[in-house]
Amino acid sequence: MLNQDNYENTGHLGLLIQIILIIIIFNINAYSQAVLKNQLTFADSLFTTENFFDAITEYKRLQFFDKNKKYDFITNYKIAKCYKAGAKFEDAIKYFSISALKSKNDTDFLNSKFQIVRCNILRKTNSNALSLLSKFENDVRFNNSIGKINYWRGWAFMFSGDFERAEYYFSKVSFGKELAQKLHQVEKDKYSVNFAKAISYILPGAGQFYTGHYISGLLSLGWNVLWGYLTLNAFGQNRIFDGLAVGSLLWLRFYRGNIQNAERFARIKNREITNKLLIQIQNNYKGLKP
Amino acid sequence: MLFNKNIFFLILFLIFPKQFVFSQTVDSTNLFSAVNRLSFGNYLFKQKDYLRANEEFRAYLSNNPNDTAAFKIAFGNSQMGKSISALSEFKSLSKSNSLMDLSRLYFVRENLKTNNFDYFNNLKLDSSYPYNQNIQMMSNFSKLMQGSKEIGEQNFLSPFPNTIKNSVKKFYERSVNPNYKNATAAGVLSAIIPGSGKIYVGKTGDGITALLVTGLFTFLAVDNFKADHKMRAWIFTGLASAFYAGNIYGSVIAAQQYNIGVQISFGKNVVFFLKKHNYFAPLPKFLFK
Repeated sequence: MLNQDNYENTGHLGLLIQIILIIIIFNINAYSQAVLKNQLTFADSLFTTENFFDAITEYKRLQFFDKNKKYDFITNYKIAKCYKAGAKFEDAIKYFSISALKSKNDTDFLNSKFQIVRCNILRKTNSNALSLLSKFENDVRFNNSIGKINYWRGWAFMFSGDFERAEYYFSKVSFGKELAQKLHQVEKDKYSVNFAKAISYILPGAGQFYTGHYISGLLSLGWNVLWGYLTLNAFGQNRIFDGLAVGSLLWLRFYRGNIQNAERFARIKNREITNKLLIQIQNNYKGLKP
Repeated sequence: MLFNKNIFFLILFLIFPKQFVFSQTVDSTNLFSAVNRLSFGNYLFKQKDYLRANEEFRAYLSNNPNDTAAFKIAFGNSQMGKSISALSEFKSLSKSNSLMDLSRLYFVRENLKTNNFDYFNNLKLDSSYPYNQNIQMMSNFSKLMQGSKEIGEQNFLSPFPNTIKNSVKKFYERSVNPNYKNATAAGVLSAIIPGSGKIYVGKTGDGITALLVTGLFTFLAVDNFKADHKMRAWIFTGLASAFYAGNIYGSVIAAQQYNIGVQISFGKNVVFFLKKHNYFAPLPKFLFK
């Protein structure tokens, strides 16, 4: 009976030791997780205060020590955002791609993919952005994001200078209507390059008048009138060679120059108008930007 | 009942060993401990994130002297193009015991990387030095890059292993016979036949244009003199002379530009080859740990 008591006491002691050891192991694990969580908080604080270089270091540190890969998505995503903030778009795209792979749900996956599109827009590889957006349309995971796809399509077209198509895609989404209206106004304000050239063909200097370059227009007109008169006068007096020389070397040169100037001035004006719009959007537009 | 509890405990240990072991090998409670900073630094180094890796190594070295970490800092600086720092660090490591020879080699390598050819011109080789052959290879290439022809082909090729001897031989031959165009010859050719100097240099389109334009103005000049239109004749004579002179000058300049292009292309090829072979310095294994 004494042996039975001893046996039971030993059993209880062993069970107690086992329970204590399990608690210790769980605590070590829990403490490690707490350390990693603190590291994430620290890295996030650096990100918030825009210390992007140090933030990347601390996110990478977290990645290195996170053996369970619990923070894989968030660290890669945040590293990518840091690179994006520093205009290192290639690195940003690399880390957004990794975060897309490591994402654990569709929301994270979609966010990563759209960030890749936005990085492509920012670095002016608009064809890449448009190609990605087309692929998203065929992906069932993006079925509820057609609005976003059209919205970023609008941005891609706007950054590549195709305002007409940009306006079309912005107008298809409710949150893009403001941009669609601005683009519509810009299209109305722009000068027609073809019209400027056409009227310059008819009347030298007219294209430059159209774009507001009055002195240049008057000079063009004056030169063309002068050399035209001398050319016709030479032909009239049967001085064929002189007529050809003046006509080809002088009159034709100034006539072509007038057309080139009309085109150039129209394009410059249009660039000024579009740049003004882009600056306005950069400073005042409250919606989502690349 | 005790037997079931033991099985339960065993299963728990099997599920959670890695946390237990990890806690023993790396201090999971302090990510900024010296050991952890070194481990993290090595991880960044392998990712080629040298700037961040160097920060971690420096933090580690502040209390823990370690030649390997110091070498990695120097190597990282070299890879980032911070040659002055790299040279200084390799030089101080060459006084250490464990990495003396390797650091000296990398110091020499850094001089080649930065085109410090004076260093090689004054270098005295030590036959007892274990990396003597590597230094000889670097020295020969420094002579190649300076365009020096004092070293014969046999002596030039002798230190190189057979695996790369053919490629090195091609560089030597390009250096000795760079296939330049003679600027004087280009000028003389254009003086005889306008445009031919440019064709000699490889600019066929320019050459034909020069021939046609000079020819046209010359014809117009002669034709107008024959027709007794003196003023126009002299205008065309002036134009023909200007184009003729311009064609000679252009041919000389084209030949000089061609030669500069050959030099630049050769230089780029050499640098690419050297980078591919790490400037003939072996990569120590501890760099990859």
